[in-house]
Amino acid sequence: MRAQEETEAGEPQSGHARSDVAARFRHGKRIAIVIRLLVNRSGGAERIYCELANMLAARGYEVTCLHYDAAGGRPFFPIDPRVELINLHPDPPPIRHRLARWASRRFFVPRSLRDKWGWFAANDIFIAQLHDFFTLARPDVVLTFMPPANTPALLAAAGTGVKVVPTNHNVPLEDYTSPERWDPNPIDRKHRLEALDHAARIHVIFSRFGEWFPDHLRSRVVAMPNYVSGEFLSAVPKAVREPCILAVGRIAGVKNYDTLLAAWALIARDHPEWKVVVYGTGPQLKTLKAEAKRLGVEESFLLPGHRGNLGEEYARMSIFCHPAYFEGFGLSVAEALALGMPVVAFSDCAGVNEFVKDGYNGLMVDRAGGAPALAEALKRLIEDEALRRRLGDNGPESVAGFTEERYAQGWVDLIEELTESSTMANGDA
Amino acid sequence: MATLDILIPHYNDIDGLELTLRSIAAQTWRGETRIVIVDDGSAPDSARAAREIGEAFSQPVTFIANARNRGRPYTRNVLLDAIDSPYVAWLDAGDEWYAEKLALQFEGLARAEAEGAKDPLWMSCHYHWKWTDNQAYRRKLQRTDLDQIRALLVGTDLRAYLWTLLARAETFRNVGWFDERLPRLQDLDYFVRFVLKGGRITEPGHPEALCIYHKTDLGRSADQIRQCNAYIFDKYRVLYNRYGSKFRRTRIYHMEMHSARFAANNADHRLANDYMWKAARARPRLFLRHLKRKGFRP
Repeated sequence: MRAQEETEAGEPQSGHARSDVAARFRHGKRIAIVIRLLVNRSGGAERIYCELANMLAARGYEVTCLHYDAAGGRPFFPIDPRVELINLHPDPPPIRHRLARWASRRFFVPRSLRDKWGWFAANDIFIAQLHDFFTLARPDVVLTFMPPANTPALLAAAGTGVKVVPTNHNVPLEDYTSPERWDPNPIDRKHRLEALDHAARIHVIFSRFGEWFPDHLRSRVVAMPNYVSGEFLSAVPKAVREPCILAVGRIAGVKNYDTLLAAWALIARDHPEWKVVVYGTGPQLKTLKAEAKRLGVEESFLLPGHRGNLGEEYARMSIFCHPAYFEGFGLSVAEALALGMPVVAFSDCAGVNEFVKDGYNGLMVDRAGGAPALAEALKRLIEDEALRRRLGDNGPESVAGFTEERYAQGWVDLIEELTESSTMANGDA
Repeated sequence: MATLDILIPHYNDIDGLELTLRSIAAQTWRGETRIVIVDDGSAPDSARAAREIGEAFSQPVTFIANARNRGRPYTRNVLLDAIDSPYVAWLDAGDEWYAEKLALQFEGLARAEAEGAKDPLWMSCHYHWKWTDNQAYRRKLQRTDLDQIRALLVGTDLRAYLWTLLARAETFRNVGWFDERLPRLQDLDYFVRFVLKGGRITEPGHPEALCIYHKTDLGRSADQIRQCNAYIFDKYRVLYNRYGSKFRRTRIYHMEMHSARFAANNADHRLANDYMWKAARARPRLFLRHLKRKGFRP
């Protein structure tokens, strides 16, 4: 027999722990993170969702990820094996919800009823499931991702005492008022803002975004910018870069790549050795390709689709152009800066103008100038290698604060603050 | 360091502990093994005897004693905490493994990993279920090809028995502590959490049973079983909800009938009738079918 020992009586649950298990779940605090759709989705918000769950698990929290996908399956991004993953979607949905969904799409049903039933079909079970989880599993803090999960989670938590922090990954004005973003149903837009009354804190990417919220909510706003993932920082910038303008993002209207194409058409002939490469896919891909052909620049304006391993592209190309109308956090822009690329963007682009400064790490263009102004800025950089190098050299420093560690610590501090106040309140009671 | 830790909780069951250790000694798998016995505050004679049995055993044994009786989940947490080897198997004092169990399960794990299994894996196995007051053995199959959450909640095709398992130590550590609010059914809670964390239960593909569960209801409180079932039902309500209201009501029906069985086997017929009445209210049609088949026996 090798060893003999005696455990102490009267210890709490983790009191007998001295090993690795205790270190893995050292807080015992339970954090739920809610998103509506997760299965096989490879967007930036889904990546941050999974990585945040992993960061919190690595810091000793018990993390449960909740989502609401009609389809079965796993997330696209890896999830730590310490993290619970629960799909709340019923399998199959009850008949009353299928009926409501069917009726909400019939033209002969009055508009107001269509809206009402459509919202019911989309949210009723999600809210009921979240309410059951909140009241029975009693998570210490709930973080929710984007309006399609923020609203149901806030409504489900109302009156339960569970602390919910909705996260906003875009410009609030757009997320809360634009009929083109998220669910176009006016009932949803109404609940989206009203439900914020139940939030413990309201997350935004940059503190300036907090100014948009009504006075009674503003004190609850916390700003936490995203981060440049470590995988990009492992790429090594090339000493001699290729004559290429890079753009990365979803090929959709809000990214405004048609203006980049128009700008390129104005200067392409003067710079035959240069190319524009736009990585990404989206609804505008076909029309953009057709337009490039019509303008006669299809050989130099390339749309190769989605690409992994973007670090290498940032490291070898010369100029990064991001003509978007607005961003929550221009992640691809920050990644390009981290790898020493000078950036060209419009000066009114929220979420980019927070960290791209004209003449410091890029050139900011007045949107009123349109494609010719954008073309002029690109031309300036193409023709002035010393300027490119000077602006590019400032890039890494300008995004040095956007680290994973700082992001994770920001959430840990917020969670501790929220749970500390609840512990004190309970103690007082 | 040994290759495998075998974790055994013990409480006042010397004959069962001896039976269990004999089945370990008979294993055909010959890797290096460390046995951890945690005595959960047994009576002094029983605790002393358990320690002596450990000292006399042919393989290395680590003996830990709880200062007082703390219950099964606490004891399992002490065992979890004591893990030191890269692989872990669990075995309750009083249950037995057949000689080939570990060898077949190690082969199965190696095969699954060679085939590129990326999810955390638990290697379970088919088993015999033997009531202690009855000579008959019933072979129970572990079906791992189903929706594992649903199958665990139903508990007929895939049962949450820890002593059927062999797996990497890491997979148990990642699930975390056994829930000490569950004096019964803590295995079920632990299995559900494993699957929710992306784990997959599998079996070695051997058609025969590889262990025996010596089963008894005697001396077990029907009310405690009912409370634990209700606790699980609340804790995982959102999972029960997922499968619809009929599924939920059927689980409530079985929960009440399960408690009725414990009450009846402990000769508390009034309590058994109470539970059966509650079951009838949850799923009247199912209850009538039961009456036709078995009468008023739960």
